[in-house]
Amino acid sequence: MSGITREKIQADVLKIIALLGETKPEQLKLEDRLREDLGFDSLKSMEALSRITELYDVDPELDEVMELKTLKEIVDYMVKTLIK
Amino acid sequence: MNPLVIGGTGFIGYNIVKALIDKGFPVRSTRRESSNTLFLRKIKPQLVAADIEDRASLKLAMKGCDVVFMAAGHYPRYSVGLKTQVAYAVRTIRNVLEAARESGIGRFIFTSSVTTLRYAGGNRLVSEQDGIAEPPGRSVYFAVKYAMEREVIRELEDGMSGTILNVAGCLGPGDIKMGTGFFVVEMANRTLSRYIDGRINFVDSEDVAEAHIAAALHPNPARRYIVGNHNTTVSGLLAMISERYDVPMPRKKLPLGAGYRASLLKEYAGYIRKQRVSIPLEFVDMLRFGQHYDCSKVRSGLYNISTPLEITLDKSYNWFKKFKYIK
Repeated sequence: MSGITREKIQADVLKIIALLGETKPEQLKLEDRLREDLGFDSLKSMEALSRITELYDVDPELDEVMELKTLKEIVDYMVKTLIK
Repeated sequence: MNPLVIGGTGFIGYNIVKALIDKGFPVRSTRRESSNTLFLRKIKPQLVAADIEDRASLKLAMKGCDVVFMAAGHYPRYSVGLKTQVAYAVRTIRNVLEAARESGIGRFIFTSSVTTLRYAGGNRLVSEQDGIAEPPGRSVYFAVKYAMEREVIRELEDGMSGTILNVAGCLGPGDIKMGTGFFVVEMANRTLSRYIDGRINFVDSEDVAEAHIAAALHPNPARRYIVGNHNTTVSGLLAMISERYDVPMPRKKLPLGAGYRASLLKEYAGYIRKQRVSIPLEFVDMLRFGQHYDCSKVRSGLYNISTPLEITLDKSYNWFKKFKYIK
């Protein structure tokens, strides 16, 4: 996908996570884990992954995305998928 | 058939969408803005944004469809605030019914629950002939389900063509929000330390989907079918899981009364903290008023539900394992 940068993906990931976590993007760290640090349960984690992948029209391998734990892992996955 | 599935991102709705797609029907499914569409997108129905709170969005979603599978409906996140929850459930099911009527939908298939059926007490099998009745106790979940079904009955008596399917405890692939499959996951992860026993009926989610489709295609279906299969108990199910997947039984069986009181307190605490509890109160209510069912009518009239419980458990276990619910 052309015109997509890592920075843009990262900003979108943080925005969606902040929205669902009822916080601000600037209060999030890439090392944050969805469950342990942000208190997301499995349903909210899936909703986040659903929204992020849908935003970029990505059809993810479900067993791969279920392994993603930190915000950095999510960003890396999206970058790997979108920026070849 | 040009079907619309309302609630395709949920457990039963997802299975209906998948079965319809497998049969080659052009399936449309609603989704809300906040829906988790990860699983549904994989099987590629036409996805349309609609919300049961918004009748106009429902009418748009129904455009060009002749059958509506209503597998959504209000599911109270917390068993708190009975009157408010019931009012919301009635308002939203009315939105769906009125949208269906105004859209000239030819067949309305409503996914209800066995919890709406009359609580007979004793040991006899409950059948369709028992009908529905005001729910026992003060269960918010039961009251919401009952109120919605009553609205559907009213519409069917007013001339809408449709069928009500009272679905039992559903197990199998697609239990995205981990409903009844909680037993499988918690046992397999060895995190279920206590349980409450009670009567329960289990049915395979793929059989449930087939029954829904059969109801849509049937030239003259009955008003109601109980969609269930295995009459058993929680302890019976847990023993089967324990043996099949080589995991220990939970250490403690709680008496029903103590389990209910503990669950009630946790439910209110969860409501205040905005955290859904691991064993929600509606599960306990289902056991407090658990019944066994005569499921012969659906087998003879719609679809021969016959998947052995062991096979259903394996399908459920493998699905949860694949998607990392089971560690």
